[in-house]
Amino acid sequence: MSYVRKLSPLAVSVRHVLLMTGAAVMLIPFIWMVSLSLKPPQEIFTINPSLFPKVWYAWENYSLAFKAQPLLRYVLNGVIVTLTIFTVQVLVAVPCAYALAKLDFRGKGLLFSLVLFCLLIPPQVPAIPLYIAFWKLRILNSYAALILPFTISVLGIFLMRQFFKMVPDDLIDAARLDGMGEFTIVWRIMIPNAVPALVAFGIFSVIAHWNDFFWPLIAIQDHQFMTPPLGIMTFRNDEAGNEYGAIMAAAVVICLPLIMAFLLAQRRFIEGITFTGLKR
Amino acid sequence: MASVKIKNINKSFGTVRVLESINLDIEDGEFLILVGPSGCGKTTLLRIIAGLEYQDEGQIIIDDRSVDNQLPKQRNIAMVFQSYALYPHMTVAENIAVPENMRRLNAWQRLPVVGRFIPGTAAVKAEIQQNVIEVSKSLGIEHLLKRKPKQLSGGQSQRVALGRAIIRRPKAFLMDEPLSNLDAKLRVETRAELTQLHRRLRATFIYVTHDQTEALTMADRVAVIIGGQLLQVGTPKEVYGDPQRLDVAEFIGTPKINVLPGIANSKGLIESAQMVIPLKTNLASGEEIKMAIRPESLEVTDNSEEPQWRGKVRHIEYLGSSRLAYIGVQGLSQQIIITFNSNNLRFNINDLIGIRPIVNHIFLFDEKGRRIKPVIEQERDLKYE
Amino acid sequence: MSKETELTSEDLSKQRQSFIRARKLSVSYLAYSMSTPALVLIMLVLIFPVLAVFGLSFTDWLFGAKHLNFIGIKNYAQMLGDRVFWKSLSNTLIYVGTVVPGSFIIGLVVAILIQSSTSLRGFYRAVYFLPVVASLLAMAIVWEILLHPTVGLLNLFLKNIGITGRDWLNESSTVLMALAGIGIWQMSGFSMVLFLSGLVGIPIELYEAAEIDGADSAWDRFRTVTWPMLGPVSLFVLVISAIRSSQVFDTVKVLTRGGPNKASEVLLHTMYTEGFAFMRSGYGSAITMVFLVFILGIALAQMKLLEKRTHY
Repeated sequence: MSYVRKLSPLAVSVRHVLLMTGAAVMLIPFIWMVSLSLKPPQEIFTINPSLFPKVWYAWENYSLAFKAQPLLRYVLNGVIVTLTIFTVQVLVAVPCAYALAKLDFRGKGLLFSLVLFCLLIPPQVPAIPLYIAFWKLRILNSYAALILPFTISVLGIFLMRQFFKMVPDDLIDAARLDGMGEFTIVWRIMIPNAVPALVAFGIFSVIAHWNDFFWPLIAIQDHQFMTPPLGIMTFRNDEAGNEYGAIMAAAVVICLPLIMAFLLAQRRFIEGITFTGLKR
Repeated sequence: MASVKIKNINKSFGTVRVLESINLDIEDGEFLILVGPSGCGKTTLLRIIAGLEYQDEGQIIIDDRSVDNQLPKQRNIAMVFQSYALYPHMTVAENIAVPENMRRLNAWQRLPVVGRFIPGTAAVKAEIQQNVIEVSKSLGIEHLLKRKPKQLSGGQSQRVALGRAIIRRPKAFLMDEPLSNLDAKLRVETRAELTQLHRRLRATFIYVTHDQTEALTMADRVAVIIGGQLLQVGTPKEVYGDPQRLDVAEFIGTPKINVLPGIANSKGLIESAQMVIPLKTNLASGEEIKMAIRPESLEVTDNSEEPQWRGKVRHIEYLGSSRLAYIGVQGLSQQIIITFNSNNLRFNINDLIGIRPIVNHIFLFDEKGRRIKPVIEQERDLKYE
Repeated sequence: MSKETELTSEDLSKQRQSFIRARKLSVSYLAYSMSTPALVLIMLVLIFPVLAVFGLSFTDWLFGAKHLNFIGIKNYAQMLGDRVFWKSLSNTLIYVGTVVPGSFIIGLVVAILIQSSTSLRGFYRAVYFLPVVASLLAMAIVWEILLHPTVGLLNLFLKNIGITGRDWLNESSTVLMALAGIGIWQMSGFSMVLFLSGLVGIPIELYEAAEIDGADSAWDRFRTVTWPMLGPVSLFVLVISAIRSSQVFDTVKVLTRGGPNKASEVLLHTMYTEGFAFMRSGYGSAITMVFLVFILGIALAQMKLLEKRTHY
């Protein structure tokens, strides 16, 4: 519970005025994006715009968006790539996090220091060598290229380790006494008790990789493998700024999945981010 | 059910010696309580018996077989943790079933969805379910089977932890301060229930607590561990009425025993605060000892002629059925505590009274804290002169 | 009595020592098997590439070329003499120096405002966090229109209050600030959410004690309780915002391509251009190294400087 004092009616109004103004600034791009996606070109490039389209151009814009680009494919790629990445990340990070949190072995300190150090490496630094390596292996322009570099999530290892450390040792001793082996303990005891951390991990991972632009830009040329952001940019470059309505329509389509998920699971999303903040 | 023999166990954590030469034989079906102040190694000993810690030296022998090379799950013992250690994400029924699932189903049968299609699984699972229901009935928790641990009270959680232990039919039950998380009233009720459970199961219970009341009321035998050393093992009566070490006398018994300094005189009798106690010893003149007297072993003397300690009543505590009086005696640095029934209280605060100990209830200890037995020639010796 | 109890204590001790050793070993093996996949991937995908970048930065390799020459620190020397590089570096510093304080303050103020009363909390939280969730690239294209000199909403709004708006994204004097504005818009929600979690963790008793002590105006409360208690969270927000804003790329690539005239050129864009547009892998690696040092420097500097001042 946070400290909430009774505010005077004046203070309450001021608060709303301030927050609403800010909220408007936050929301305007979204509202405008939708609005533009429904308008014909003459209403887009006008010095007298209105919020609602005078001519309903939605069908034209959206159908062009889907025809000119494999938009659905882009969204599908987003789903495939983010889900695969997250699944592999979990399979790799969770046992490692458990070992770091609850087992004793030589080199434990070293491994954890390595994890901490890697947290500071920006994801773009390995790009050039990875590109060269993937080129040599001939896996550029494929799902493999999109997924492989991100199979390891040191943030995930760190998050899960912090959370696992909070599981009482008694619980693990009881499980050992009851006959569970260590791997069984990871999947049957640690994971079910670490759901908030897992959710936070998932949220970070999905948002980051759905919206990733830098690496797909480098690694992918074929339309069929493009991820949503790359798809949008290609569309815009191809159209050279002519069919802005359609570009906006495409933008709406690729932003929609994450925004929908966010609105539906708002609580979890925000819990997830704050969780990582608290655990430092 | 099995006997447990603890042979010469030594354990240190770093430079700190936590257990020193512990030797103890626990009988099959016995309720043995390891008691001592917090942090003195009793929980460590329990964990060594369970196999969760390793001793530096010594052996653990369960049922006449050394278990030192066995993993905890191979030793066939059950442990009830102080925190109960219930799996928070499972229902009560699932919690109790875990040991049976681990033991009777192999890894394939335990797989989440696929497992049930393996032939034979359903039958085993049904049996396990049956066992769970029986065990929960015997503990009075069958109505809680579908609940999760966070919905249970302290007492209920404890029973679930017991259920998880009982269903294994282990060779011995190890319990680590199971009552300490309960409130005072519940603790008293659960004490009686645990004792009855022990009688019903006729199992070997090895129980750790820092509460000496629990030790005295529940145990067949009490093992007093202080400072990592096993100071005395005996029935509650022996440990209370015949302490072999000063530490034991001080730890067992509430209120705490009175400890007074004394000196042997030239006749080998003990003098304390100017009173000569008619206890003859083989000590040399001038040797210093400690005298311990329980609060209920002191009486008030009316006769000012008889040998006595004179002191002022500093404080009286009201305990309902009895009273505690704190007497400040000249020549003694600490106050003496006496227990009275409400009926015999004939004085008030600040009164000057005379008190003296009942001679054959006095315990003598040398400067190392070991018990000294007085030399008793005849009845005559036990009278004040 | 079984035979085992008749063994000498030395034999027993040896037996148990070897058992303990075997147990420790098996736990170690288990731990290794659990962490090997992670370790292998860390090596393959993070450590070796970083080392490779380091190595490449001392070569003149062009992507696809047959030969590779070691040229020592020539790449770095070239960088230091390159006007574009310095512009890129200073632009990045300016960008970070604008976005970090901007999103920090807005995030903090919004969080405090939101927490000060219960009405509409959920709504505000969702709205301010939305920009973090949306694809920056898509939103960048929207911003392009919003910042359009004639038909963009911003300039139309300014016209209404009598100010002539500029061509924000195409004038060298304004482009970096325009991008920084977009950056602040995108990152404030993230700081806000972290500050919210920090505020919720402040014990009520501290405020009550402050009230009794007479420190009960809003500013006093902030100064004596809120700000000190937000120490650790603030540090975290600063470090994370600095690292993330240093990685600015999407908006630059899509909206300005570093122009006009390198006015919005940033480190990561320079690295991309050299390494992947011009295919100069050696030189691009050198820039990558500078980028890495830049980020490590910011993170470590902040942590060292400020960790001392957070008291717990």
